[in-house]
Amino acid sequence: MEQLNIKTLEKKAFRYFFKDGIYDLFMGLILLSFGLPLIFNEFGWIDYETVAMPLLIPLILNVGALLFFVFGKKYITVPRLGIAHFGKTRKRKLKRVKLLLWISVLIGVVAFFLSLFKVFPVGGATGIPLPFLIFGIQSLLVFSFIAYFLDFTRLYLYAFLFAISLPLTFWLKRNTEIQYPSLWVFALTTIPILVIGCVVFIQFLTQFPKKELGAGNEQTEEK
Amino acid sequence: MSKQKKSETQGLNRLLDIDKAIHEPARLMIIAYLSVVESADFIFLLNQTGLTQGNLSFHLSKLEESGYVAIKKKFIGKRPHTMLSITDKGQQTLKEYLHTMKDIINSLAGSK
Repeated sequence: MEQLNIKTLEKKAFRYFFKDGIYDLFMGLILLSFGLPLIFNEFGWIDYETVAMPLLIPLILNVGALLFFVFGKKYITVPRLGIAHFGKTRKRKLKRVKLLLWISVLIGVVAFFLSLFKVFPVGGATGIPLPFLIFGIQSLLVFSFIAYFLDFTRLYLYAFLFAISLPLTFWLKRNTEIQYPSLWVFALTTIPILVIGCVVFIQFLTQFPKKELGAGNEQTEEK
Repeated sequence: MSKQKKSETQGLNRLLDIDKAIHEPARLMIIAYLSVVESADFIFLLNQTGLTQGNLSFHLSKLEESGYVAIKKKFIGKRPHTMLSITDKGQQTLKEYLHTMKDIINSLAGSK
């Protein structure tokens, strides 16, 4: 029999909001936004000498992912899962998550511009540029901490996939003859996240149909 | 009557003091879920408890009558929205209920 106490009940109630797959799809799209400029560059469709395109692609995808997240939560999740405001302990954890995300974004922006303007030393024996090593380590640490604070188990896997994406691409580029390393690496890292996201999202839509509540907002039917 | 039997009877008699408003399984489930959140809406409880709309409405009304649950109606845009939360009295009653039930079950299990 399942052991259930107040603490596990709170965890169960909080985890319930990850059943929509929207977080997963959001993460997948963000990772894709890092990979697409590199892939397009490998195919010769964009050039890193012109700064606009490598900046524009992630920007469009990030904005798209953010819009999908915000509107998806509002118009898809809330009518199906409802709303719950959690207690002080959970709020404290969410504050830590926000702080970590800001730090992560800051490090990401710095690393991105360092790589864009080629102001970086190559990372010693690995041959991986320093910003990409930083990206890998901070992704692993930040997302693992967030997974821990949010009790969002799938995020540990995504942390690992984020962490290996850029460093592995550059390692393959420098140390192997593989054609289209970015394509392979980002296919291996992004597709699992997006597939998990789609499966969870479809399961969610079938498992939780939109609720048509009784008139007078829920308090009408009596038994 | 032996000392042990007397204490068992006293333990069982405590069942009569249990608050029936939250002893009912559906209501206990509702109040347990509300005790782990600050507030939640009707759909959240509907999914968590697996009750029907009618049943949930009925039990929420009973809990509100007892003063264990507070029901706040507000508007999100043009749509009415009901937020539910456990009151201090509800928290205290749940705590006492769990304590009493644990005592009774322990005393019954111990008497075997």
